[in-house]
Amino acid sequence: MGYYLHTNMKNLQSLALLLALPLVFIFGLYGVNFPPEGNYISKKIKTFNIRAYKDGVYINPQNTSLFYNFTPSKTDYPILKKMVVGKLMSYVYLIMSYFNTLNPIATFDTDDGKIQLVSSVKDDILTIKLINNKSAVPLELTLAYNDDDALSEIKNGDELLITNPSFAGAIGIINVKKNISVDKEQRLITAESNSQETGIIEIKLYQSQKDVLK
Amino acid sequence: MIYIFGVLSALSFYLIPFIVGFPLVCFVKKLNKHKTKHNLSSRDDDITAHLIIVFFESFVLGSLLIYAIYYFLYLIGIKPPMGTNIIQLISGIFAMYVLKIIHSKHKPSLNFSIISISLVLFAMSVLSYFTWRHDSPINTTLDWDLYTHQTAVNIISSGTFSFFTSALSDTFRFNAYPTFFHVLIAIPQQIFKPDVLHFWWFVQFFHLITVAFASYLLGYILSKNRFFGFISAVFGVFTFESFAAYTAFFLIPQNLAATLVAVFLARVIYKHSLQEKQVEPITLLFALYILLNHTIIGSFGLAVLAFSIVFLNRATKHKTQTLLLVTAFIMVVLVPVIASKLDLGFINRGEAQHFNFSLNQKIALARDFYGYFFFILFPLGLFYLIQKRNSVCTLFSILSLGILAVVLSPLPYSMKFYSVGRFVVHAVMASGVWLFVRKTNDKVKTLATILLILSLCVVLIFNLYSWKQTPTYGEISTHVSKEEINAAKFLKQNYAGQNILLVSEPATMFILEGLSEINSQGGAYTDLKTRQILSDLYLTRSKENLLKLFEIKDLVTITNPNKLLFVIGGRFKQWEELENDKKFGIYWNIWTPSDLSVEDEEFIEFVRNSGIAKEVYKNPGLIIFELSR
Repeated sequence: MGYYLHTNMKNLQSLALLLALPLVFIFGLYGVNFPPEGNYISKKIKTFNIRAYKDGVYINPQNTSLFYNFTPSKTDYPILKKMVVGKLMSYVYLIMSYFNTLNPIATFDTDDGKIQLVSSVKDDILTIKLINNKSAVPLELTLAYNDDDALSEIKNGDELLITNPSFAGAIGIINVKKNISVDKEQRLITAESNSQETGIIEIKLYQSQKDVLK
Repeated sequence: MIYIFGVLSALSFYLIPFIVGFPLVCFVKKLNKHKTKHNLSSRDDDITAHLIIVFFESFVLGSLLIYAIYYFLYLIGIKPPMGTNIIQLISGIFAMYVLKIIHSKHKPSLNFSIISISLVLFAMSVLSYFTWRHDSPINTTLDWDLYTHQTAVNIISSGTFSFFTSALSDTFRFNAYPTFFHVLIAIPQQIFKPDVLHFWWFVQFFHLITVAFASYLLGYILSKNRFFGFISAVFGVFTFESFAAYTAFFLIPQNLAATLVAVFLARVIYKHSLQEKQVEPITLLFALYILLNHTIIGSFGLAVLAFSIVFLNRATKHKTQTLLLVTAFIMVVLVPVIASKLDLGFINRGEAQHFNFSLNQKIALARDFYGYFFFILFPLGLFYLIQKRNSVCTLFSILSLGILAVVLSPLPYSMKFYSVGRFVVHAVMASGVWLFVRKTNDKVKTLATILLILSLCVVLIFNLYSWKQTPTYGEISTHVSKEEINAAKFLKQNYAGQNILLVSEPATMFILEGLSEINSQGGAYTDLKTRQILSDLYLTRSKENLLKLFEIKDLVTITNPNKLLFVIGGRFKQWEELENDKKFGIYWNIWTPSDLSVEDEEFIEFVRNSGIAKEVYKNPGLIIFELSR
């Protein structure tokens, strides 16, 4: 009797240890260091980093301190600017970012539900969309550019080119004629977004300013 | 097909010494045969462990013999390519002998065990290396140090030689290691003449495989179980110490020495288990090899090995072992505390102070390397080993605690000792996993190993994601851009072998000197005077300061060049805009490749219009001027 009890106890002990192993793996993974804010939601396109951050999504030409920030905004609209990412999804996002297969996305909690900034890339054109299905209140998708940026209209005014002396490339707003307004004083480019129409800004990414002429 | 010479030369870094050393090992073993008390166990896995040890013994002996021959030939006036041809000839003769041994009746049995174990370790290494290099193609680099080593290799290949690296190039500020490593790299490069970036890409993959085998071997020797060995290897290949050590992915002298220390330790324990002598001629040659690779890491490794030999042979009483174990536990707490109380300002200064971390920072680094795996599996592994109550398990417990005591101490470069420590720590962490799976069948153990691989792969990805934010150029991760590679090719074709000095900001000099074979003043380790001249020139933009570039003198090459190659790349402005302690110190570099921008044009125009500069090359990344007095 004692022998069987002893054997069963041993087996139970082994089983308990085995069942505990996946928990050890999960706990081990839980301890990884995440990059701050949304910096793990990113994509590299040519010489540009596209990243989510606490207020939206930004484009950063590599090796510069320049940022082109896309944010959802409306002065009288109470957006709770809290970016929300589930714990499990944050692991998935970082792994996808590492392999450069993620299109950065920023999700925000608002009083009316969630709104999202979604990016996509096709043929060197980056599209940022503001998805605002829940609210009847119109929202704006805003792109803030830098103080020392130069703006010029090219291709018969079909494209708004933004250049800066500190980087070799340029970015071009190619849907400038579609529901987009430019405020040169505030240095803001804004796309209207409402329940009928999604706010969209389409950007061509130029690695060098010579590419603009092609 | 264009990679074939890269593969062959990288493989030859290991195979040529093996071919030369294998007959010697067979000869020594034949001599010692009558002294051996016990025959080799007939278990396949034991034979596999034995073969792994023989491979490394042959590699060590062959490397030493090749270096001795190369040195001797140089002393009697035979320089490359003749010196290399003679070594090639010797390797060819020895290769025939190796084939003869393999086909003789005493051939080492290629059993299923060695094939299956090798395949598993190879597959693990491929997965790890793919994760590491998926966005770093074959003509890119993620190991900054390789440019220093390639500079020395180039100088040796051109026929200059010295035992001391600092006598070869001012890229080496002090002699942490002799030219041993560089000669052994130079020989396969001279034979196959590969693209050097291809060579390094492949040789670092082969280095990872040796790390996998060394980790497996240590785990196996500890447990006499292949699954345990695999778990140890999983930690070995999927852990990246993203600061100071970089053991698994960087083939540099300290890491080669550390890998051989792990094999040496396994060999000591293996010999002890067979009741054979642990100190013999091959042991001494192992020690010499480790020291020749890296004096500091080698000395630390030898201290670990000397302790192990004494422990296994002298500390046989249970009481003594317990006392040493308790002492090791106390050391983990006391050594860092005592070290933090001491006034170590005389060593914690200059570059060293930037490599000294607090305990909290080291804990954060441990989370980068392991997530929480270290914090849970290391104590569990210790618990498992201590309750086993045998000499080898107790030795691993004491070693891992002792090494951690050193690594956790607030001493400069103490993290570098982890390149040795990690092998022992990983064997202890493998014990932690073993505690859970030891009584299960092989299927469950396999499943657990696969889950561990996946988990550690995720940790590795997190670690690499942060680490790779710096070496980035466009969509690829690298320290060198294609524009810099093209410029290096131009320089090599047009200026190699000429009495000319290359001048630029430190990182550009470092990379271009390694790839183009054109001498620079110190590369990334350029001295304060050069930094000051470059800084003054950028700020003042005067012709007088441009001429001061001719005052830059190489600290090793005494020739006085009439022409300078002045390179302005995208990194130049970024370096000039650094804070002074970064700009004038050697601990900081512009590691990220960068193309020229509009802001660089003004400085380029100044040089172009100075009257002493002739533009000889330009691409989007950089521009090269030939300056004449």
